[in-house]
Amino acid sequence: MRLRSPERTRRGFGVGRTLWPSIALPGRTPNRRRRNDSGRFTLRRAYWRQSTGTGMAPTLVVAAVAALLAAALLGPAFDRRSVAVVVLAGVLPDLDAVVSLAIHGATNAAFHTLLIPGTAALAVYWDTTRREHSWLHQRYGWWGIRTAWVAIAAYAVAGIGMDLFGPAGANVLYPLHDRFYAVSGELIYSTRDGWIQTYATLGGENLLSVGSTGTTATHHVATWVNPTPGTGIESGVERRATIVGAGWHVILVVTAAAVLAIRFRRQPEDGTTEVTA
Amino acid sequence: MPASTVHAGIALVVAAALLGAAYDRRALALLAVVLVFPELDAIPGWWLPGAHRAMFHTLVLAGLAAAAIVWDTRHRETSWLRERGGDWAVRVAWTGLVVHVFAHVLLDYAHLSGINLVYPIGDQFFRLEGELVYSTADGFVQTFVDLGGEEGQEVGGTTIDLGQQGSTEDVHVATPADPEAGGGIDQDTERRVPIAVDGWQLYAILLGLFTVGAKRLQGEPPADTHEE
Repeated sequence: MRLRSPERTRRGFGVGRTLWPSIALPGRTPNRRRRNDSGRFTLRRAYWRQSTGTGMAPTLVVAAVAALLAAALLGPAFDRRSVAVVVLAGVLPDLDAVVSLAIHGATNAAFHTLLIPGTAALAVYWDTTRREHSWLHQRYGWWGIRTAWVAIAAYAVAGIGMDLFGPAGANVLYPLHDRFYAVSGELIYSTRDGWIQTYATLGGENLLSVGSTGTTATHHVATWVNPTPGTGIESGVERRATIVGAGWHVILVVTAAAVLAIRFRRQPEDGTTEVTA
Repeated sequence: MPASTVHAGIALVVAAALLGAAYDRRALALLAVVLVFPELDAIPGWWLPGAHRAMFHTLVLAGLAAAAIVWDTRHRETSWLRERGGDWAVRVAWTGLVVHVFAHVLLDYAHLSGINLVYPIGDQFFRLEGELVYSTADGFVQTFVDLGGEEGQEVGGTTIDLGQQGSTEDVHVATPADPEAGGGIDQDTERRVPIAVDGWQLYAILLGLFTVGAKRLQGEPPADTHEE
C-alpha cells in the first residue's frame, strides 16, 4: 500500500490552512495537471493511476456496495431488516483489524478468507435442501433463506472482493495458504499494440498468478484499530480512519444512498406504478 | 471515460436494484442504449473541440429528461409513456435516468478530467478527486475541495478549487473515437480502448456480472410474495 509521506502528514497537521479547529485542508496533490505542447491540460498518468485510494477499501464504501447488492438481489425480501443484515455481513470482514491486535498480520486475513462465506454457503445449502425440516425456513421462512444467501454474497463480494481488487489485498485462503492477493493491472485494446492485459500472468511456474502484497508475516494493512505492524494496542501513534479514499468512492456511496432512498420510498402495494426519483 | 464496460458494471447493479418487476431482457437492452448514448458526444468532438464529456455529460440534460418524464406521467392527460408500455415503461424510464446520472455522468465526474457539469449554462469541467480521512493527529482532513489553494479561480479575494479543470477550450478527454485534441478525424494515431484500468474497474465489471448471474440463479419467490 502507499504510505503517506511524512511531509504530507505534516502539512495536514499545522501548516495547512485551517478553516475551523480540527478541520485542516492540506493542499492538493501538486502537479495535478500539466500543459502539453499545444497548451492544453492533460493529466499526468501517474495521477489518475492512484485514484484507487490507499490501503484497504473504506468500510463506508464496502457498506455502499453491500447495500447495492441488497437492493439488487433481495427481491420481495427487501425491507429494513434484511438490508441491515446484508450490509452488516458486508462490513463484517473488516473486524479482523481487531483480531490483528492479538494475531500478527490478521488484518485483511482472518475474516477476509473465502473459507468463511464458503462454509456459510455450504451450511445454508445443507440446511435448506438436504435436511427434512430446514431450521432457517422454520424460523424465518422464505425471507430468511433469501436474506441469508444475499448476506453471504455481500460478505464475499463486497467485504472480501473490494480488498482483493484493491491495493491492500486480501488473504483469501488464510489460514490454509497464507498469502495476500491484490488484483491490479489493466486491460486495454490499442490499435498500435493490440490487446494489453496485465491483471494476471498466465503460464510460467504457476498456471495463473496475480499480484501479491506478501504474507501475514511481511504485510501489514494499516487500520484505525491497528495502525502499525505488530500486535497489541499502541499509544501515542497517529490513527487514521479513511472515510472515503477517492472520487469514485464518493460516487458509490451517493449512488447506494439514492438507490436505498428510492426503494424505501416505494410502496410495496403500488406495483410498478410509480417511482419517485 | 472509464470504459463503457465499467459504467455497465455499476449500471447492472443499479438496474437490478431499481427495475423490480420490470427487470427483463428488454429493459436491460434499453438501459444499455441509455448508458452508451452520452459517449456519442465524442462525434461532435470531431468538429467542436472539447465537446466530449461536455455536450451529453451534463446535468442539464439529465434535469431536462427528468422534467420531461414528470410532465409526461403526471401532468398530461394521457401519458405517452404509459400508453406505449404501461407501468413497465415508466419504471424503465426512471431507472434509465438514475442509471444515466449515477452510473455514467457522476462516475465520469470522478475520472480523468471530469465532466462539464452544467454545460452549456456554464462551460467548466469539474473533477471530483480527493479523500476524507479522520486522523487522531489532524482531525478531519479532506482534499476534495481546496479553499485558498494556489490554483483555482478568484472568488471575492480568496481562491477556491472545486476541482476545476478548464473549459472546453482547454480540456480534451481522449476517447478511442477522438484520441487527440483539436478538431478533425485523427489519422494514423494510436487509439486505445480501455476495458478496465486498475483493480477497482475490473471489480466494477465483475460486480455487475455477478449481480446478473445471481439473479438468474435465484429461485422463484413463493406465490404469496410479490415483487414491487
